Amino acid sequence: MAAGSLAEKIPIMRAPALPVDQTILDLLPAAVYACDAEGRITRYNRKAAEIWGREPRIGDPGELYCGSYRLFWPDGRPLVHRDTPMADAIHTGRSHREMEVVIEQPSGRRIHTRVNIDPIRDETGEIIGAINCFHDVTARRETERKRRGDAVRESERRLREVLEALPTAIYATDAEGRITFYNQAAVEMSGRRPELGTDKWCVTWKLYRSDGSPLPHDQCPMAIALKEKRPIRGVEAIAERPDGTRVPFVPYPTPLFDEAGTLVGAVNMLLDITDRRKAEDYAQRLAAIVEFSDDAIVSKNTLGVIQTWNKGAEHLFGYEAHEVIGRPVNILLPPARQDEEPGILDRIRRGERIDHYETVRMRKDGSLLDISLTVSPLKNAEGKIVGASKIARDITERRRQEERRQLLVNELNHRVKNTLATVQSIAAQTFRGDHGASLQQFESRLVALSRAHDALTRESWEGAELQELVEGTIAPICAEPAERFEITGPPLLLRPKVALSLSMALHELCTNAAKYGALVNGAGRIKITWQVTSSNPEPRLHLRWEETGGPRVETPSRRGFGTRLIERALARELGAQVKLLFPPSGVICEIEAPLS
Amino acid sequence: MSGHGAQSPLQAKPTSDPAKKLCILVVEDEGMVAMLIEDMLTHMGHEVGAVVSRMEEALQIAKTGSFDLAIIDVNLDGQPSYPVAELLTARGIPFVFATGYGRQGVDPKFAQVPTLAKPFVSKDLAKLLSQTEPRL
Repeated sequence: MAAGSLAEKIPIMRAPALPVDQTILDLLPAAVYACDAEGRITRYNRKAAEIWGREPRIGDPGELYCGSYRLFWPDGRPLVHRDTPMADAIHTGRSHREMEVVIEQPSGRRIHTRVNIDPIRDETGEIIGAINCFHDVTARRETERKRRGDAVRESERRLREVLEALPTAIYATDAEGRITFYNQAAVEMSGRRPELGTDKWCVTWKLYRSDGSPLPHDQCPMAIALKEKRPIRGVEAIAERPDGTRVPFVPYPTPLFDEAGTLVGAVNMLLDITDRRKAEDYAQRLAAIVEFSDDAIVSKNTLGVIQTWNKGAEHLFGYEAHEVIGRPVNILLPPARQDEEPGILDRIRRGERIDHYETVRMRKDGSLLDISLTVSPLKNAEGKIVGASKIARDITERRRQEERRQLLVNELNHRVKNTLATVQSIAAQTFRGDHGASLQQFESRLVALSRAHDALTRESWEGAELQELVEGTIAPICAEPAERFEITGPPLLLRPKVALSLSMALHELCTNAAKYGALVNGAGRIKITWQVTSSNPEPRLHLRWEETGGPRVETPSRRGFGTRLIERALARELGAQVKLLFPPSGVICEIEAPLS
Repeated sequence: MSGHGAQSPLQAKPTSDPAKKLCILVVEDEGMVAMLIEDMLTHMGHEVGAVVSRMEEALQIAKTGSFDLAIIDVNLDGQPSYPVAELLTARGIPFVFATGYGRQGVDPKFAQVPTLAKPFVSKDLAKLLSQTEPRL
C-alpha cells in the first residue's frame, strides 16, 4: 500500500507540530492549522474546523494543504489545492498576508476567508512546513457590500436628480434598447411620456432624417450605438411630437458597459437645435439675399478695409471678391473723391447711417459710375461698432431712363404744342377777316388748353396742382391777379382729366369776367375757394367762384359755349355737379366733383 | 360768354410803334405755324425778312443775313436749333425762342433768352418783342 508505506516513512507529528497546547489553540478566536513539508495537515484548532465545516484527519496524505474539500478564488473561479497560498508557502518559502480564499463547506455554504501563511523552517533553514492563520470575513464582506450598494444607490439617486434637473433631454436604455429612464426635458422634447421597459430605442414619437425621410426607431442613432456598441456622434435628426410639431436635434447616444466589458445599456442626450437651425436658416437666407442681390453689398471694418463682397459688387465694380477682400475701400473711390471716405468712416464710428447718398465710384477698369450709396454701421453682439455695410446701387441706368423719359415728355409736348399752333394757324387762315372776335376767343381757349397741359407736364402727367392751375388760367387774362383775385384752398393734386376740364371751365369764367363781369371795371373782385370733403365713397372737391363789385349782371339770354362747357361738359366728363348763377351782384359758380 | 364784342385779332390796334418797324427772321419748321407768326408780325407792322425751316438754311442766314431780331423754334425737325442761337449771339443779334417745351425745355445756357410758349396769341408775341432790345 503506497499510502500506508508513505505514512510509515514520514513521522506524522514530527517537526511542524506546534509546541502549543491544543486547549490554548482551541481558545484562539482565529483559525489556525499547520502542514508538514508534504502538505499534510499536522494540527488545527476548533475554529479552523468550524470554518471548514468538518474535521480533517491529521496527516492524511489524501487531503493536502487545506481542510476544506473545495476552494475558490474571490471572483468565483475554482482554486485547486496545489495552487493554494499554503502550497506556495511550503514549496517556495514565501509568506502570504490577508489573501482572500473562498471555502466551500460540505453543506455547500461558502465562507470568505482571509489567510496569513508563514513557512516553518528547521535549524538548517530547510522548510519543514507552514502555518496558516485565517479568519471568516463573510459577514464583514456582506456589510461592506451592503454599504457599497447603498452608496451606489445613493449616488444613482443623486445622478437621477441631476439628470432630471438638466434642461436637455436625456434617457437611458438597457442592453436591449428598452427605455429605463428619461428626464422631464425628454418629455417636453418628445411631447409624450415614454413607457418604461416597453418603449424601445428612443423617447421620441416619430423620427425623420434631416432630409425629411422617415427614420424607423430601430435604425435611429441610439439603436446603432447599442447594436454596434459604439458612441454615435455628428448625426442630426428630426423628432415629431404627437401634436405634429417637429424638433430638429442632435443625439449623443453612448453605450454603457460593466467592469467586465459587457454591454449593460446606453444613455442618450438629445440636443434641441431648433433655435440654432432657425438662426442658421435665417443667416443662410440673409446670405443668399445678399449674395444674389443686384445691388453691390460690401462690408468693411472701421479702418475701411473690405471684409465681404457679394456678386452684385463683382458685377458693379468689376473686381472679384478675392481681389478686394482685405484691401482698403478707397480703391473704389475716384482720385477726385478720395477725401469722401474719411468723412464716411467718421460718421460710421459715431453710429450714423448714410442714406441714399448719390456719388461716383470707380470700376476696376477705371471707368466711373453713378451710384446711390447707403452706409450703415455694423455692430457686434455687444453693440460695439465693428464696421459698416455699404449698399451701392447703380443709378446710371436710372439716370439714363429719367433722361429718356424727360426727352419723351419734351418730344410729346413739342408735338402737341406744334399741333395746337397749327390748328390755331388753320383757324386764322380759314376765318381770316370774317369772325375777328370769335377767332380771338378761339385762340384764347386754345392757349388755355395748352397752359393746362403745361401744368400737367410739370408734374410728368401725374396730375396738376389746383393752385398752379388757377393761377396759370388767370395770368393771360388778368394783369394784376393779386389785386383782383382772392384764392384760398388746400394744396391739391388733380388728376390729368380733372385738371384739363377744370382749367377750361376756369378759363371760360375768367374771359367772361373780363368781358362782362368783375374784371371789366377796376373795382371788381373774384373770390375762388375750394375744399375737399372726405365723403363716401370718394373724396369730393368743392370749388366756388364768386364775383363781386363788377357791373350789374343780367342773366344771359342764350347759353353760349362757355356756359355749356361749364354746365354740361364738366358734369359729363367729371360727373360733377355744377351750379352757375347770375345774381345782379356777380356771377357765382359752384363746382362739386369727385376726385378719385 | 355770349358772343358779344367786335374786335378782330388780325385788325387789332397796333401793339408796336410803326417807327420801330423791325425786320424779323423766323426760324420755324412747321409751315402752318410759320405762316401764323408771319401774319401776326405783319399785322403788328413788322417786316418778315425771311422764314426758314431747315437747319442749314437757318445757319447760313444766321451767319450772313441782315435783320433786327429772330424768332427761333427750339426744335428744328428733331434737332435743337442752339447752333443758330449761338451764331446770333456771336453777332449780337437779339432773338426769342418759340417752343412747345416751355421754358423748362430750353438749354440752361440760354436761360436768359425770352421764350414764347406755343401756342401763343398775338398779344403774347407783341409783349415779348417789346421786352426785347432789337439791334437798330
